[in-house]
Amino acid sequence: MTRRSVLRTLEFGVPVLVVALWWFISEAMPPSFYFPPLRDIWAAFQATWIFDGIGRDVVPTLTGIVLGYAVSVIGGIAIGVVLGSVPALHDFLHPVIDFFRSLPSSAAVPIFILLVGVGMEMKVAVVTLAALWTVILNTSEAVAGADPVVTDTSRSYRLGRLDKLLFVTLPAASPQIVVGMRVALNQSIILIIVAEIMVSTQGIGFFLKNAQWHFDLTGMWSGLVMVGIIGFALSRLFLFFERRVLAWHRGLHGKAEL
Amino acid sequence: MAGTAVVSTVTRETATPEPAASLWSSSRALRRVTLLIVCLAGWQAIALALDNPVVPTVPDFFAAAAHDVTTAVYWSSLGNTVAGWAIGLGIAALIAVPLGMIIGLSTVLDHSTRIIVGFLQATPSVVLLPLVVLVYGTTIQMKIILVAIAAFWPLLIQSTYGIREVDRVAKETARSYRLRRRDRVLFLYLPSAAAFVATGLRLAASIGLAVNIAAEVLASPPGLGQQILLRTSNADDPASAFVYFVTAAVLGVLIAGLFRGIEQAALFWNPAHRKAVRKARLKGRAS
Repeated sequence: MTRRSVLRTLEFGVPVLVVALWWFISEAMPPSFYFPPLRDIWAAFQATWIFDGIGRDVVPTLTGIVLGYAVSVIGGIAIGVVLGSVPALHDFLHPVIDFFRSLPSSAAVPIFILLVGVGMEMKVAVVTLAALWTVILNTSEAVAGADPVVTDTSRSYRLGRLDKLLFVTLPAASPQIVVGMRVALNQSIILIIVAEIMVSTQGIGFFLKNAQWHFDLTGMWSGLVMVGIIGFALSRLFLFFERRVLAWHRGLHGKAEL
Repeated sequence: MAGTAVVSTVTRETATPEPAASLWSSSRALRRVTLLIVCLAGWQAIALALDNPVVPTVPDFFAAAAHDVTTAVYWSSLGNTVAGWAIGLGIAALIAVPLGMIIGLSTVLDHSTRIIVGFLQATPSVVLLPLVVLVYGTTIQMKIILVAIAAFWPLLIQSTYGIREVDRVAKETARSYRLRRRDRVLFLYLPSAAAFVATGLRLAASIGLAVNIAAEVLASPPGLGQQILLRTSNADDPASAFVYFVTAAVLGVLIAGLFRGIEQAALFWNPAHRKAVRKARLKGRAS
């Protein structure tokens, strides 16, 4: 075997081995209330999540993430482009945006509940508060820091405003915007779970809270596995998107420097 | 390039010789004070428009704040939040940084752990809250464990990157000179990885604080989040809930600033960053 294929085998073999070890060790250990055997977790997983739980709890959670994240990304890029194009405004407002980016958004959840209620609007509002500012700042900094040669060239060619935005400004800023979007996605996932654990009647956060109330540890573990799968799937999906959007950038610089 | 930029600024300044404009652009303090006034006015407008006691007007807020900061509860909540965050972050750093470096040193370990780390890192640690609450109750240990888990992954991943990205020429030079393993670690790997570890610390610090406050809001062990929850759910003192919220926000901003400072100091070692800074300085001089 070549070195590369050995590493490839390890990459996929070790996780399989770890799961197998968990299966057999949890089986052999004396029964524990908090850490049930993987066999039971798997049985609960099948019973809960294939496929009733998907529509009941996974879909509401994903809907909240997608809506709040879409608002944050679209709004954040729009605001960021405006701020980045007017350097005086960018410098003036920077401290405020930085303030909102740095505050722990989870502290705002009880206040949002009183303001917006406990429905989907609240989840979307909380996710937006957590995700919007990072996208704004990454976009505005990238637009403000655009290469002056490129800016002057597009001016010399008399590019229209829209053409300049679509074909010069946004592509040039995209590597940094994508970094902001990745951070924002992680924050969205955390905050939606917080909001759902706090007040909700559906969603994965609610499921976990409910399992806690009923001391259903096996069910709770199956929920944890589900969240792991969703989180992993979202991060892989993002990686795929990132590779597509930034393919030109990787080609230009030889490797991903993100 | 540089010429045109300078010429254009000069013409602009001579064309509009307003002293106010130059004072505006030269005085950072003036801009900051104006911004503060704009923000307070915006806050007042929003509070009046919402007309909901949970978002108090500016005068109500300062009245509530003046009372709250004299209470013992305020300071003990702040202390509890900071303690849970700091201990959790410290534990995570002590374990994750050395472990990440060991993983970074070995290609085999790096590949073997890649999927597991990716999977666990993508799982937000707040989902463990219901489990950790069942095991530890609403105690400070519960917070510390959640903070440590949340802070663990960015630290581990950045430490691994840091070692992996050590300059190849420097590595081979060290090997040619037959530097001992200990010296290689002390004088090559640690200084090179410092910037990455500092970035990991900054990310871990803010995620840790967010998770810490989330734990306080959700399971109410003592801390700022617990006070926010109590004061919003009782609704007899909603302005005061907002005082605790602003305190948590300011704490988040201070922590972010502190760790950004540490990162800047650590970046001093990073040759890629030095190159970028030099470039930025040249660019700044040109425009």
